[in-house]
Amino acid sequence: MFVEKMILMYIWLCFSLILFNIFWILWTVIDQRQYIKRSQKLNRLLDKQLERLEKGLPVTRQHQQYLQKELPRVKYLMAFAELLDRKAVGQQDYFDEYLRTLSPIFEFLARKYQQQKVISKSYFAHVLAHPRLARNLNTDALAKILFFYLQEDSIHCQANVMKALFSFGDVSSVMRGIRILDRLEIYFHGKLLTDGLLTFQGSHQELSQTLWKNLFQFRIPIQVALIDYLRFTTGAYQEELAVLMGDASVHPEVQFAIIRYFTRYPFPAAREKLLAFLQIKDKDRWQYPALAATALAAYPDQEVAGALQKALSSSNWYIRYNAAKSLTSMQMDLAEIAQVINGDDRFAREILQYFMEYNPNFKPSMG
Amino acid sequence: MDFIRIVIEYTGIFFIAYLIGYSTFLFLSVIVGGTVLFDKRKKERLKNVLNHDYYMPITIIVPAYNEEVTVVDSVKSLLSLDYQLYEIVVVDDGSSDSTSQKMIEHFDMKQIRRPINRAVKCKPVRAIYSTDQQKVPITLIKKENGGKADALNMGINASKFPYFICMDADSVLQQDSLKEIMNTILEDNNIIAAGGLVRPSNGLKIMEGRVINYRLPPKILVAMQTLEYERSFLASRLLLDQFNGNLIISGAFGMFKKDIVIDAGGYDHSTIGEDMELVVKLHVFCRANNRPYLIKYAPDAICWTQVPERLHDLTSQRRRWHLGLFQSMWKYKEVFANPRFGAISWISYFYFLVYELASPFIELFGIITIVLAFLVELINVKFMIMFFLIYVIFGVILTTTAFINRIYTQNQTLYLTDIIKATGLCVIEISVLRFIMAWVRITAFIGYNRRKTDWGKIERQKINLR
Repeated sequence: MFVEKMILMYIWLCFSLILFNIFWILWTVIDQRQYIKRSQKLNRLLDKQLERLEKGLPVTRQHQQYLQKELPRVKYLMAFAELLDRKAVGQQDYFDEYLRTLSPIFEFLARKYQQQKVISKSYFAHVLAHPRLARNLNTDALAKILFFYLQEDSIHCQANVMKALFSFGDVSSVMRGIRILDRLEIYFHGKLLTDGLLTFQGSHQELSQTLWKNLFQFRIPIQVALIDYLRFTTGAYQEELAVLMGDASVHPEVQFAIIRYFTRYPFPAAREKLLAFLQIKDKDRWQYPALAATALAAYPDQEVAGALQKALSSSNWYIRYNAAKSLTSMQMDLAEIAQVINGDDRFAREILQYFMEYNPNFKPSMG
Repeated sequence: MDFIRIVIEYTGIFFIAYLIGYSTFLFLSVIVGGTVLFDKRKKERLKNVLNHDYYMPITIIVPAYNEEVTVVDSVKSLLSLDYQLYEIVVVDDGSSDSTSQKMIEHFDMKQIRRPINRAVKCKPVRAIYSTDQQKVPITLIKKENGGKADALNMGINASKFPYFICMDADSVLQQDSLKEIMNTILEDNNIIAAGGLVRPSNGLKIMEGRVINYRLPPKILVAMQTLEYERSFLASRLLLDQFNGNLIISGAFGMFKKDIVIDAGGYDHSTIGEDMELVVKLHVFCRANNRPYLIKYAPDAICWTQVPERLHDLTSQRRRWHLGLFQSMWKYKEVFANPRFGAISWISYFYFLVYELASPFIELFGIITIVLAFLVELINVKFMIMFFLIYVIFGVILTTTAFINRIYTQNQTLYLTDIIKATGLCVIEISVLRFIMAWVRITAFIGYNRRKTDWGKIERQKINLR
């Protein structure tokens, strides 16, 4: 009967999977032992080379040839990476010197891994991101090859390549990496980009200047991530961003990022625009007043307090919530508090009372 | 006589088709499950993972009803999670025991007058307590009793962050589970929900957010449920995940994007299968509104949960699950055979309808047919026994395969004694427990109106935290 035969075939295939799993378990055990042996051998060889360097002798040609032969195999690269982690602690001058001699080998490896599977490419990029390695290799040459890796359809490979580029500390390489992400419309989460940029090993001043110059060439999600990066690193673009914040042709997501920027870096010219945002009544644009209500906490004065007080009666929860939070973070007049507390708006009263109790630093002023 | 013969013949054809469909689904599940997990481990070994220090902030909602035995330990375990920015919101759904009192005393919580956003419908608040003295802020909301869905809705309303986790008060999240589940968001912006891997925790010791020495539990009923969970979470969910077809994210551990859940109306109070209802609703909502979306399964995000230890508790739990399944399937019947839903309709919905919801009735019908065929001497008993044996062997092999697939899950060691035990338990499960559960599911509809929104409690054990 057909069904019988089919089930028997399924049984056989499942049984094969069980056998595969058992082989995999055995292979894992054997592989682990080999890995330990490999690591120990590599460690011995490396120690010998470090001893030579200490005596003023160069790294042997034979050792370089050995690495060139073995490191294109990902298992050896794993053992090398583990060693790198271990040696990076403690070993100083000679280890750096040793790594510098490996520069041509790593360029060779970069080309070799380019021909391998994405998963191996990605791993190679991960190894390159090691700060000790990035500091001592010829990263310009490596970056040129990594740009090809970046075009692979794998978020892990892209993330590891970008990590390596950030680690190299070269502004032009990072810019080119971002351009590739942008041009190929690769989805790269804004958080990965912003936080990655913050780990950049070169000059943040130079990086932020270059990013700013090129900011509006990129797609919106990248623009947002870059403004977020600028928010964490420099207050140097207040004037320019204040102009953009008021520009209706700028994408709302970019404007939201700019509003957040002005929460961190208060700027007088931004204040008027934030107050204008707070007045927006259009329900579909509620994010503007909600974000402005938060940002205005950094602009404590009578006019702002009055505007925030009015925002307490907004029909939108987030606007009310943020306005109350901002109001209680600034010195609020007792008479103004009484006006809200004794007023008819229950929602405004409740949210203000909550933040007054919640904020231990809240102390009302006496008019 | 001819009529009976024809009926039995057609019934036979139906059952052959039924069996082919079922065995193919299970077979594909374990094969795809094994392959996906194998690939994941390989990637992890070669650092093809997104390892990030600062993820999106997240709210963990813990709905609790008469959870005085477990709630404090559960929250304590949440405080040891390896994650930077999160808050814990415990919602006491009008417990009649000292759930809230235990929380207030243990964490030294103070009453506050915090207004709650009414984004989704839920019963009124009685009191709110909070503390900022722990690693992350903890909020306790005492509310009027309204059921688990209602408690979750309250949690959504009280949450401050754009993503929320729903979990059970008797569950423990593994230390890295939040990182693992949030990784899905970094990988794809269209992800609106993700479910984790749920495993039974009965009798296990948990140290610093990790289970130590995970073995098959000694109690037979618990061990059988462990096998069932492995079959579901290490096989079928991974298969359905390949085409965005998961219709369930377990209520024990799921992550959701808050704004889309609010737009879709939150959890439905009128169902007891609120976890499935929400996921099916999100599928329907996103497709109706042309919103790009993905609902993912993250097998490395692990949650340890207590499963029933007594048959009585197990049957009442399964009765609830079956009613919940029925409610969700019925409510979203538009998904059935609807080309707009693609594989969700033709594979996921069809599977749940035929092999989960209708299966006990189909199996009962099968037994009646066998008896009838036996009475009119139209059955080959030898063949029937052989066929049953093949079926049992198939079930055993499948479950063993899914069980062995656990070697590809995080930090998992496999013991030979566990494999032998698992194989033996499969036989009992297929030849005994399956029939008991089929009966439970058939009779689930008795007292439907009375049971349709209750919490359905099982006897809780203290969580073994170290």
